Amino acid sequence: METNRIDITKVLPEECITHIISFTSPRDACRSSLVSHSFNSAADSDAVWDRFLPSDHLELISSAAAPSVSQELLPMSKKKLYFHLCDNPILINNGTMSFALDKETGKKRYMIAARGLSIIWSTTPLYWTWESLPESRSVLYSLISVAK
Amino acid sequence: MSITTENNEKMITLMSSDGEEFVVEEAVAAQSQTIKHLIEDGCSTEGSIPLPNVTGRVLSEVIQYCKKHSSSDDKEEKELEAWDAEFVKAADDHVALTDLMMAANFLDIKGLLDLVAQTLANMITGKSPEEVRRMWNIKNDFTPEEAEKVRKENQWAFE
Repeated sequence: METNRIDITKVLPEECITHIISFTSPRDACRSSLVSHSFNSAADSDAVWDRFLPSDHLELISSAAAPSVSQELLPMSKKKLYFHLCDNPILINNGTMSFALDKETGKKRYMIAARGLSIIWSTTPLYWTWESLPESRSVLYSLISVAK
Repeated sequence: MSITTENNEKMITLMSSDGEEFVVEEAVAAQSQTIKHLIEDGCSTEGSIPLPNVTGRVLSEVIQYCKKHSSSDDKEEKELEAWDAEFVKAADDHVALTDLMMAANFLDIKGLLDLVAQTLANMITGKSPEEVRRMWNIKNDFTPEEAEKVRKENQWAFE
């Protein structure tokens, strides 16, 4: 049918293509970049990645333990910011917690440092001891249980 | 033209790009932010409101959607969802959905715009760029070098 031959990107304004892509997933958005120039520019837009980022991402960034984090991250495009937050956890809550994003879903992943936990008898060296592992971040100590 | 019904509901007339007239309750038409602003500016007091970008066929579907959504309250959310699903299913292919999306965009009806966008998004989810192009008849306008660059930038999605 002739009517089925219309090119959707010639008919819809780019804001509509952007709107459609924002209802897919991060993986689908990246993949759709390769469809055509108009898809590529829609799929890279802040409007799309703002929807994939958690709605409170700006608050989380501004609550980072290190003030330089905001300065570094806020000028980024939303797409760049998304992938940055997937690969680089941000320390929050005075460094007792970190948060990062799950790449597939954009959901928040929190890691609580052992120092941020309240553990019964944790101050009793008889039961618990702090060990700093070389592969661990300085603030994310691993708590090694020595149940005797 | 501004007339009122027996139960005092104000009616307004909308005219499609192909000259078809639709008389609807103001509350139904005001689901469209564009029409709502036109009414507020006094454009509905004389004659009909012309909608030069929307054909009669598409406008009648849009009005159907607006009627349903202006008469339902929050308690009927489940029923409304089922109705929405049937509504977009009736649009049946991407050409009809594209028409609806353009109308929803021009008339600024957020619920309808989101509904159609979600339906079209579901069509491309999990598809390769080649499949999307074929389905929606899109021309690949990248040079091989450009395509390689875009693929590299989005390498993760192709792994």
